[in-house]
Amino acid sequence: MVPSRTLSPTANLPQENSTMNSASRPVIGIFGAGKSGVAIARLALDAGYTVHVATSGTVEDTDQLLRFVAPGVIAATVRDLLTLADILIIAVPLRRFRELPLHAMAGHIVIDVMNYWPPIDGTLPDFNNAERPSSVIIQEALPDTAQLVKTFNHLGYHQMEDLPRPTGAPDRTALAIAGDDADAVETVARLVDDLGFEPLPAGPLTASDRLEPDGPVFGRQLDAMDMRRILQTDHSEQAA
Amino acid sequence: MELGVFSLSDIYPDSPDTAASRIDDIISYGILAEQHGLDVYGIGEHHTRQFAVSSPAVVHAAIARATQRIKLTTTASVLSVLDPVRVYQDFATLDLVSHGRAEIIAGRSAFAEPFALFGEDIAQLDDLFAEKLDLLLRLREQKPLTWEGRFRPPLHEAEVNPPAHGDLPVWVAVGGTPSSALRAGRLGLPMALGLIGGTIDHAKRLIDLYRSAGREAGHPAERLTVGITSHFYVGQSQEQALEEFYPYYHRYLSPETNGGRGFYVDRPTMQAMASRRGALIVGGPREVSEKILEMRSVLGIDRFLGQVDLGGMPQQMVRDSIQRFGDDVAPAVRHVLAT
Ligand SMILES: NC(=O)c1ccc[n+]([C@@H]2O[C@H](COP(=O)([O-])OP(=O)(O)OC[C@H]3O[C@@H](n4cnc5c(N)ncnc54)[C@H](OP(=O)(O)O)[C@@H]3O)[C@@H](O)[C@H]2O)c1
Repeated sequence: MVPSRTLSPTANLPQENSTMNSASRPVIGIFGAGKSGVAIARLALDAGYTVHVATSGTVEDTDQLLRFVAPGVIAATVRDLLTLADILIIAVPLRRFRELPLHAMAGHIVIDVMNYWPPIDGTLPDFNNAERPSSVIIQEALPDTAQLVKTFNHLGYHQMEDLPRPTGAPDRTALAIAGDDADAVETVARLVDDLGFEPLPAGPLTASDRLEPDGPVFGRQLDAMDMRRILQTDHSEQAA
Repeated sequence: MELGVFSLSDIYPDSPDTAASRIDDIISYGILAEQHGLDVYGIGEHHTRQFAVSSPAVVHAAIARATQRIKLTTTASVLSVLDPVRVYQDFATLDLVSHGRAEIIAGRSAFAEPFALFGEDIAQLDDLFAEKLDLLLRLREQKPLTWEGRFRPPLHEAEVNPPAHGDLPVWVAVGGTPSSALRAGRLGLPMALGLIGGTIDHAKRLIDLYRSAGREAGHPAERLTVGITSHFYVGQSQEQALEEFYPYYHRYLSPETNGGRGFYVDRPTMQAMASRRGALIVGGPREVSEKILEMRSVLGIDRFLGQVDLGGMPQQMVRDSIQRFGDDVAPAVRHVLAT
């Protein structure tokens, strides 16, 4: 049995006496303790957020893993994430996302970090539709009151780790944020900013194909100006 | 500490290379690696025409008869799609052909194609890998085996031939996913960690997790062996190495050579990756020695394998890199470690 510092959910709620603005900050819950989930968890923790992470394994196993790769991040069950967190982040392989309690995500902001990338994911019949971005298909699998926002997906996990810079830094990397709900996009933009990236709203989910693996910004380290220009150019080309 | 090189057998599209010429080259690099005193030679397994080798055991058999000492491993075997009985047979046979030098690094697969080819469901990747690894490990015990799983017909008192020369080593290939490192540690299997991109600090977290999980599961520390693999080139000097390596690295990582999933690395990014704590092991003999020694001291690794030919690097460039690694880097590393 793993000695667990962090298994009691109540012991880990944000402390009253913690830093000034942490009380007003959303609690982050991440599904997936893989490459991308851990990278985002570490950034959020560094930025002062309370972060919970769940995998399909036991809380003890997740805790053991987090103690080494993201100490300070709290292991939780998949179910507990739904009550502990304000913002949910899905960072599991796309082929497994239907295992998550999607219906219970009502009322949450949900960030989609996943990609449909056939060379790696294989052909997934649900997603094999060039007309429909994967995030649109995911939004449809969620209850109406869950607000899906796509971001983080277009940077590699090493980039997430290496590229964060404080607000205003000249070499700050931009993260495109696609979503249908303006408030949700704004909330996620604040998170992205806190985590060290320049948030760049990039339209509704129907336009999120521009963030996908075959799109113009995928894997690229761009500042906000270049990314805006590329997304606009690409958009007008598509519209034309 | 073991030092070696490996090839993934990629065929650069706009070159005169063919599967036949690449296999000739890859056999010659294995022989050259032994001649220059390296300890391990690895060959990858891929299932598309962008690569020359789908069956590393067969190519290794040719190297085995032209060498005496070097270990022959896979980087990596795509165990998720293969029948473990066949994998065991191929490598137990290679072990006899090579007089005990065969080894398997078992991987999950970075690509989707093999799943369609072998009729496995990629959606079950995690379970497939776990089950097949379990069967492969049981087969190594070389006793009549009774076994049942979900993905293959059961075995009843099966006697699987041939018995290997000795213990057939099985390593687990781990990318960046922490749960893979945790599982490898719990199984007490050696871990081959791909240091592709990222930093030594990232690798350290995974290695610490692996060792702790292994110790907690009761495995003795000396069985918790760690190898690092990385893109690699030893040039005459740091500056020349970066200059010479860049064009090949750029096209190797590009989407054209990676079935659409690559990226374009620029020169400053490559340079940053080659810096002291970066993942890329490219430099003159001195820088490469220092970096391997640093990985040894920070990460406690037991093995380093460099991916020695990629993106259509000319044969002479690969041969020079192997020669410098064996003649200059390896003695320097061994000297420091012996004192
Ligand atoms: N790797 C990157 O650099 C990167 C960057 C941006 C976006 N992405 C995207 O993010 C997604 C995840 O990729 P990754 O590379 O982070 O994957 P990964 O390293 O394979 O990790 C996947 C994680 O998800 C967990 N998981 C799987 N099924 C689960 C379930 N039903 N409930 C809870 N957790 C579950 C896994 O743990 P268990 O198996 O133990 O449950 C593991 O911790 C992909 O769609 C990918 O395209 C990746």
